[in-house]
Amino acid sequence: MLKNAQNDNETSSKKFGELTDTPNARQQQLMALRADISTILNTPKSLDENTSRTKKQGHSNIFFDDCPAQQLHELWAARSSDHAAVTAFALASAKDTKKPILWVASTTIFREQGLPYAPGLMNMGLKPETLVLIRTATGKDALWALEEGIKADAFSMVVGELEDISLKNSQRLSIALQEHNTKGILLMRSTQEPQSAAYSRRRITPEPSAQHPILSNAVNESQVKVQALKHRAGIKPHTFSMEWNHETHRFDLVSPLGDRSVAEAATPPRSRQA
Amino acid sequence: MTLAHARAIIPDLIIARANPEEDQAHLQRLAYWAVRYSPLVAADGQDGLLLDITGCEHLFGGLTAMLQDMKARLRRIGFSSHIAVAETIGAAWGQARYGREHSAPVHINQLHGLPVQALRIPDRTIITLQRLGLKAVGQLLSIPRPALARRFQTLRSKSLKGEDTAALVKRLDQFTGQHAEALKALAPASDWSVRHAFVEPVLHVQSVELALPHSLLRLCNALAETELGVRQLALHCYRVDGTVQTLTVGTHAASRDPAHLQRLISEHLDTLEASFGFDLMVLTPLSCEPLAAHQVSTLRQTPPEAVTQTLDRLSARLGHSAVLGLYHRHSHIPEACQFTAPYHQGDESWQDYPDNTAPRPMRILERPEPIEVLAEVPEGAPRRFRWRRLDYHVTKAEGPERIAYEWWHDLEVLGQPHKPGHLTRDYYKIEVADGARFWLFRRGLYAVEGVRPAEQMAVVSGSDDETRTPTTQSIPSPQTAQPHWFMHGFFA
Repeated sequence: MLKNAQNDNETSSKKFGELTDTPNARQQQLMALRADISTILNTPKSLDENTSRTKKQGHSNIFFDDCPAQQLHELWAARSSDHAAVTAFALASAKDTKKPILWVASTTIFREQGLPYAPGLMNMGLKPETLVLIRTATGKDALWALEEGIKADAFSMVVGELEDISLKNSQRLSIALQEHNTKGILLMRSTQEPQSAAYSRRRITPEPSAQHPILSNAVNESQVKVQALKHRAGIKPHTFSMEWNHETHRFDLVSPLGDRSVAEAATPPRSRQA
Repeated sequence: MTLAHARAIIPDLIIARANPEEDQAHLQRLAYWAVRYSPLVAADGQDGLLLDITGCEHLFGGLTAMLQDMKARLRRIGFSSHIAVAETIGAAWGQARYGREHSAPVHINQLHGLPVQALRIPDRTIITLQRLGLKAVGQLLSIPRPALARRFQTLRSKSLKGEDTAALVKRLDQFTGQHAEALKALAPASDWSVRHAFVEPVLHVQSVELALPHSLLRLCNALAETELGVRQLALHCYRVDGTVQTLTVGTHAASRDPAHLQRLISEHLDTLEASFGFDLMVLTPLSCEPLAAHQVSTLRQTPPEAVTQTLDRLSARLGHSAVLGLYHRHSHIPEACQFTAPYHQGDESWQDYPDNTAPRPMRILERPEPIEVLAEVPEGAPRRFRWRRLDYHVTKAEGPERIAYEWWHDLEVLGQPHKPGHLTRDYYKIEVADGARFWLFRRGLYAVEGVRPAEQMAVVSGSDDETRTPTTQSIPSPQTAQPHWFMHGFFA
């Protein structure tokens, strides 16, 4: 006779409690479990339910394991006010390297969205000396500069801020990336979803920050919502929220369970019988 | 004689307008062309060139051959020339204009027969000397110096032809060489140059490209012996019609790699125009830096110069001001403490940045954009604002962080009505309803009851240094204008 362990998963604990009953109930239980499995498989994979992953690493390295080098990644900002969040996300991934970062954008984009600001970069834990800015006159020059930067093999990350990119050009960049050891990130600023041959595409939007425990009016740490739209490795589209941690200089997953109140138990907990 | 007189004598006279500026420009171009003979060349007056050919004769097979070559080329270009070689500038000048042509350098002692006009002295002095019966330079040299100095004291003046003249004694000394005279060269002479002369003038730029690797290799080998690397390289292509086409490339770090320099030069070779052809190509490093020899690794690693070589290629195509780095300038004003400049490695200016400042945005607009804000007076944070034609509703705000003008730069400003750039700014970190976070500021302070008056701003008509104040009234007296709000930066 198996005693059930007390755990949070109340439904399955209830089911296991009935294991010693009739074979009919056993059949019912099996069917219920199969139904559970099929719902898990059919719903889009969200990292909250993907318990093995979240239990292993609770911070944003999960994202960056899915963002490997030698591939082209797109971060899409749909509105002008999203662009800062996209920038932060791109920069957060390149702090641990000695090689410089190549940042390519045209003059119009730098005028509209602003230049990277070194004191802000230092707040994020990034040294401003590692950033090399390329300010081009046209988008075509920006694409050429991106390709040159990729082929150099000398930069840790090549970031391009573009308004749109054609399929042919993105394929060209992907092919160049596959042969050289660097990471390519495109920050797309367009209203429509960019259609390109990138390895992965994510839409980043800023979110209201969490309530500060003391000052309700204080702007707390930045939160962003990441919508993974496309991934070549087959990961289904999913959405998750991340919060900036100014001490570790990393984006951490926002845990949705943090604020829940203690739920009332449906059945009173069994007492252990000796 | 006037033009009418001349036309009366010869009815079908060919007339052309004189254009002294263009003539001078032609002379300058010819002077640059003459650099093929010697790096020290100067244009002399309106119709002459001065070259210092010390040590250059052996390149042309001797002095006689050099002079013949010069004369032939000038004739081919279309100029008739008088060429003279002497030990001093004064003697050469006089010999070329007033002496017979010799194909060998003449000693100063042989030039005593030159007339006094051969010295660069004012016309009045010449007339006086002729009246006194002194017609040759040799006669002047036999007169004791103090007598000459006492009699002919003239200030510097320009003669009719526009040549520079000076006192007689000084000119005599320059003639004989007792007073040193230097040449103000057009282009600075560099220590290195590699020449490649074409047998026949080349018409296509591709031929130059084919000749480049050999010359670059010679140059890099020569530099390797002295452990120097090139920072700026100039390619001069001399045309047969007496002009020079120059191409300059720069690198971010000293380089001695012929292939890399070839790639940089090839980027811009299309800008050279051959017209009737190039007959000489000269590679000259304009600035060099020490570059020690280093071990080349056989492992497939990226070499340390990969970054600078890529940046060289990028700046060769996009321009030197396209490859930028962020540098620190000590200032409290946020947009002033960072400036962009052409990238160079090994910068440490950001280590001085004070680490006790409030959090700063990640991106900053170079020019703050004006916005319309609804906020509580005098120091309240914004409640709603309108930026780029979109309305934003503020949920959270932090601030104000007060940044005032750096009064120590301009002490006279204290107590005066402020110019727009001198007003105090109150910065707020704002979060709006959908989560975006902004950094905006109010320029100018409102009055606070019993604490301080409003910041007096002098209203100037026309645009000010930041943005145009909407309330420009052209009243000359200083007037308190309303503070304005601007969007400056973006947080994540």
